[in-house]
Amino acid sequence: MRAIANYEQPRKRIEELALADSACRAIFIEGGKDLGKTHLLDFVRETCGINFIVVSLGKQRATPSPKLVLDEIAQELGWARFPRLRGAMRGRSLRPIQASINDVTILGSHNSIEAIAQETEEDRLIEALELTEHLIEDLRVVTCEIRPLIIAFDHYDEATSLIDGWFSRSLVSSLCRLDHIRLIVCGRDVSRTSLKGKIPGARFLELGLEGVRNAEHWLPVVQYEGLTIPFTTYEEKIAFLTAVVEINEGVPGLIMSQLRWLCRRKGRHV
Amino acid sequence: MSEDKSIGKGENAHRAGLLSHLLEDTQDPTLEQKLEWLSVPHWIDGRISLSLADIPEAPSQQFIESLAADGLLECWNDGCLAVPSAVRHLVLSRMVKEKPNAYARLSKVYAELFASATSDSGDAFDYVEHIYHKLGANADACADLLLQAGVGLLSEPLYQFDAVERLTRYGRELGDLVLLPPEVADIFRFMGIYSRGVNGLLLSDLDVIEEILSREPKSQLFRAELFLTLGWINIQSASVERAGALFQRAREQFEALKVLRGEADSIRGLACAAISSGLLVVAEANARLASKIYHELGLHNSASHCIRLLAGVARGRGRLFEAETLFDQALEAFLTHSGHMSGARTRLTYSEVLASRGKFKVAHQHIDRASRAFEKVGDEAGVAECRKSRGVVLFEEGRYLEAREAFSDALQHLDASRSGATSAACQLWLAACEIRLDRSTVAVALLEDALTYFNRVGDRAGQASALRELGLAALRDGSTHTAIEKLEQSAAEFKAIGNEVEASVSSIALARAVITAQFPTPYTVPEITALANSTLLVFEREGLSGGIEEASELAKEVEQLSSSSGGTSGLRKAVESRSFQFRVGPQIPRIEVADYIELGRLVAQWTTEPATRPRDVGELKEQLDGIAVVPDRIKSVKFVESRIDHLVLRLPVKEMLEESLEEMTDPMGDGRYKLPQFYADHYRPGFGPAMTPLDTLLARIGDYTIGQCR
Repeated sequence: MRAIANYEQPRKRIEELALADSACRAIFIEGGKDLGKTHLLDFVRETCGINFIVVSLGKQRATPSPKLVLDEIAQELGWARFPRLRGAMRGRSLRPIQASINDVTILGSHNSIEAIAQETEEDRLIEALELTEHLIEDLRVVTCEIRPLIIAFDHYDEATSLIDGWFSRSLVSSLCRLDHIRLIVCGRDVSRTSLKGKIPGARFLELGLEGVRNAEHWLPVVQYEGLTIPFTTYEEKIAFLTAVVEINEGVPGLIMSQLRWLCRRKGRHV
Repeated sequence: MSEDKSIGKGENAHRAGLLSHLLEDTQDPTLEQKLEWLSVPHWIDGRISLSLADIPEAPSQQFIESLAADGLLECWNDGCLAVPSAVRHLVLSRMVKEKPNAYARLSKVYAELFASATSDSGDAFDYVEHIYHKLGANADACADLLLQAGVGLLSEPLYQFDAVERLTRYGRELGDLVLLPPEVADIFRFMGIYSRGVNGLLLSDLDVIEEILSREPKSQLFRAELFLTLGWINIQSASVERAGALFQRAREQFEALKVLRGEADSIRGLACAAISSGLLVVAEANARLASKIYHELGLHNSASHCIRLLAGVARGRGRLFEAETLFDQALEAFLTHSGHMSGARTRLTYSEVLASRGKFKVAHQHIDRASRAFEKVGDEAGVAECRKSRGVVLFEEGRYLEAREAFSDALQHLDASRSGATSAACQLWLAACEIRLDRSTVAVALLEDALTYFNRVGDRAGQASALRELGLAALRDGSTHTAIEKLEQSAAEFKAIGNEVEASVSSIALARAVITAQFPTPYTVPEITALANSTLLVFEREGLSGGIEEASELAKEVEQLSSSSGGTSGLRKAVESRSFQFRVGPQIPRIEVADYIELGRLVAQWTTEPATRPRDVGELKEQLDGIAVVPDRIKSVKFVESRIDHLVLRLPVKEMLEESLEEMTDPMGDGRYKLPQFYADHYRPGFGPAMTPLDTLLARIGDYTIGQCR
């Protein structure tokens, strides 16, 4: 089972969100770079036995578009649950688009990012809004075994302006209107977005991640990762971990980078 | 959004120590160099990793795999590997500072690798990464390349906004890492403006572009693009003359560079400027020329904008029948390419033309659909423009109180600094309502404001319209001589810009003023008779029933006047004869189809999914909302289905068939049979929208299922 250093409170809040009678509809998780947001989501998804899907809006070679995000949600839950969305997507068949720039041929439809290359971002937003209606209709009738369902969007700060417009104009409020759907939006500066105003009844929580400064909390992670701390006694190991945690101010991403580097076999990468 | 906060100055001090820790702790003397190889690109995928294997000093695949296995490289959802951004930033900062030549050399290698990847994949994101490395290798030499990449990705047919958003982010990243040449930095700024498109340009962009121009960019292509964009901003701020000059400069530069797309865009700009100045012949010639070039380049969407311009020209000339056809054609073209917003804007002007031809229901439906589109994307200015068009339709219906409300509402919501022309038009229309509601005093103040605007921007059609309303206001106030003077000016101005319909409307008003003033005026009875005759001809030609009615009434009045004075004008005979000959359209209302493709889609659905069929006329109208208008004469509906072994011959309504036969064989008819527009698009695909085989099939299904002896 995947390990995590502490973050007990955020984990609990997410698990509570998954309760059928939860009054809360959404959680906004904010934390600076390397504070372990993605790891937290992955950990809860893998270990808590709740219906939970995570869609990344960043960290991909091709920027995710609304169509790609919808596609990912449907794929995660199984396309059979999304007959309306599938029909609507099928109706927006790709047209071959290509153009030569500086003698290089670029294919507009290569990434299947948008159904069709529209001339303005607003046109794409309208397409996204229309597809969202179909998604919501399908989600409205999803079967009991996946209720309640948490849909988490990670790396929100890396999303394009189109995704931002789509979330604030439609997706967030539409999802939160469904009793059995819960939403998590995760990113570096989520608190500054206007999304929260879109949650009906302001039924949302804000969680801030601040790192893990207790060295002992890192022991399960070291064990899970199979890292060998170059000391023998427990006290020495804790002192070592304390130093690493202190140097990196409790920031999980940095701590892990350094631990992986320091605790592996010397000279391995040649 | 999308700003990578990790890449920037002012990182926390503790992060800076991380790289030193990592490097000091290793026994591998080449580790730093290997890390540099992996940190220069934002990501590597399998293809790039394989290419690196051919470069001796590059890290081996085994090394890359072991780093990934140890979690020292991020593995993204799509399988790409990346050095964690904190580490990457530290490596690059150090490299640029201490080994700038090595950074440039690796950037050059990756530029080639990603160029080759783009050639294989055609992928815009590979291409953006290629441009990023070209800039890293030698930004001084890449101004034109960057500009062509940005404009090429943002323009038709690619419209890769997300890729350019990333390229712009890379620009910020490079700007933090290395000192970008001012011209390259300016190109990145320009791309931010350009990516918003013509309708998204702001007045504040004007300062930015002028500031860039003041630095006299070396790249002629950049100067041309700047002139072009500046031209569009000037059109929006109603500095039409300046806009025209800028478009002309842009055109000359693009022409010299043999950049056809830019040349066509500039010519299209010239057409817009000419329309705003009332130079309709110039506008038409330019719109046709731009369309021809777009067509040669295969840029159908841009060509559709030219069709819309031509529709505007036709409208400006009062050729409403032609305008209607062209607007219809432009709308269909935009919708074919999911150009919802251009479609919405087209619907608004189209609705006004339809209203002036008495097609109020369809006009309202177009406004409803446009309004929904603007509301969906939160375009408040667009919603306000919908209110203005709604007002125009209501006005044409004679619902002046409601129209007044719509125009007032529009004025409140319009941003006058961005929508000066629409605001002035609203003032004009609002004044027209006030005059018809006997509130001429209020109207005059509004008209004077509007006229000031029209005079400032040189909008001759606006000036002529405002003069007409001022004349009508004077007439209401009993100042008949002022009224005659204004109305004469109005009619003359409309004639000068070639709009015979509007000139006729002003002439009718002039005739009324003359009659009210009682003869003798500068006009004699025969002159007014001739005037009524000529206006009648114009209204007939354009099928304007309201105008025909007005001209006929005027003729009757003049005839009475001449009878009482003992003269005979022969006017009655002429009017009666023409009224008999002229047909506004079929007497039995037909189903008006706005979107044949959608109609066909619906018919296909009714066929394959019987449960979706409407159960009564109410449901039918509901389903056809925005697609077609079902006339009130239809009280019930029945679905009949052919079978493989049973042919159903659905015969037309006898009365309608007879009416259509009579109309088509009438020797006094207009000699035209109007096929739905999509047939023209199918047979002449160059000029209109590109109809896919499916579009054509659906449109035909829609047409033959619902067609009723048209």
